[in-house]
Amino acid sequence: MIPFVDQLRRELMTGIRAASVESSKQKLSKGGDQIMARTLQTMRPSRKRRTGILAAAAVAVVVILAVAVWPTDDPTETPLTRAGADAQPSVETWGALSPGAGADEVEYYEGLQEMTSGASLTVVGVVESVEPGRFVGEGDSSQYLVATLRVDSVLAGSGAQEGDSVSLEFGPMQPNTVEDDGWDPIVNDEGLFFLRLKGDGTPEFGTEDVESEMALGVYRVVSSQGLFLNDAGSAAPVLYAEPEGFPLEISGDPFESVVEHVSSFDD
Amino acid sequence: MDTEQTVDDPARLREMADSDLLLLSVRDPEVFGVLYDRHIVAVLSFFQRRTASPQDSADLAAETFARAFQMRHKYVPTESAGIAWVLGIARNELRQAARSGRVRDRARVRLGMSRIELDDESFERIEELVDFAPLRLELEEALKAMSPKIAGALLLRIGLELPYEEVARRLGCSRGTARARVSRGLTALADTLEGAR
Repeated sequence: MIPFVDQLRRELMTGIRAASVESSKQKLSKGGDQIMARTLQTMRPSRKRRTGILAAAAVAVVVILAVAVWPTDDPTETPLTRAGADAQPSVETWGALSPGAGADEVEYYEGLQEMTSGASLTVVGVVESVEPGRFVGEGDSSQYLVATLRVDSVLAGSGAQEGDSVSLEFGPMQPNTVEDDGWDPIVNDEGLFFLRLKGDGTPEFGTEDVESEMALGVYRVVSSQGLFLNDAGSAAPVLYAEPEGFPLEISGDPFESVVEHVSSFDD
Repeated sequence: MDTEQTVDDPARLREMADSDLLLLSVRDPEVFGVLYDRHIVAVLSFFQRRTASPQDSADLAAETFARAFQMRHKYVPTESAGIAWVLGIARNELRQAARSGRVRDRARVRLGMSRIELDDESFERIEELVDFAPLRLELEEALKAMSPKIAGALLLRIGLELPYEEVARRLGCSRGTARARVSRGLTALADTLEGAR
């Protein structure tokens, strides 16, 4: 017997037993949370396609509505307590970062190829860190959350190379929500990201100055459709409470095959 | 196969088909160990044949089994046999490693598993899993094209099948250097032979 084979078996079985214990604990505590998740799902508005003709105005509407959704009368409530409880911890957290929370979205795509063509940059990357970002809005009433993304593969677009780090903004949201320390679960998550360079075609919240936005060199996901997490080997459209359209069809497919499919568009 | 049941008899578990073990492991995770015992050597051989690197093969095998465990509830027996499903995950890991230049570790880390640095015995035993003899003629041609130091190390280790201690003694270098030269040579050969096909 190869010594490594025994060593790996011990590591694997220890991990499996620990995971099983954790899974049992989660099942025991899931009941009440599921009621909250179902209630929240019924409150979500339907999503409709938007064209770019009123993009600038729509961005403002999205952001204002999204910010309006975040505040809560309960000071102990965090974004995480609002997300679906049936998911892994990081999936819950991603759900709370949906750019479509509480509002229709400016960008909407019919398929992967269209989204790849429309995005400024499409990458496979890993979240390295999450921290509070810049303030925007009147009286600094809102703030972005910034994820630093390590680019492992560039599948389409330009602006970054393999090994680069890019900044990815989520929000804006209430500053106390940004300061919440519940965002750590997404660190080290790997995903397929469809990114829009801010200011690339549309002004962002808090400014009408496209050039100054572009100069920031920061990105956002194109929409709730723009992230497929590598969830234990499967593609998971985690920015949705309820995936629909092509993200729903892709959900659960092997992550690598989705990445390969997207790579082929750039040929 | 009733996957609602658990099976405590080790002999019965060993006789079960891979697909049944995978289905059963969703409810009884301990069963996954039987699948590991059955296929770890095949998975290591799969990686060693394609990477010619025992440490990379070990890292890839660890990630493959960790990921297979985490994905076992998605296994559909009508689509593939159990080992084919595991090797499908292995292929994805290999493709990802080739694309990014590094072996992924997310599934392994998620299970809390430590990375295992191979000891000398494991290194050599994994290396011996693959018989390169049928490729010898092609290897000889490829060897002529590489540096004498690396080619010499390969000839002593692969051609004459000498242990690393003897390879190091004849080359006048350390055992680690000899191993590194063999590893670099095998990687170069793998690239050359892959390119020829």
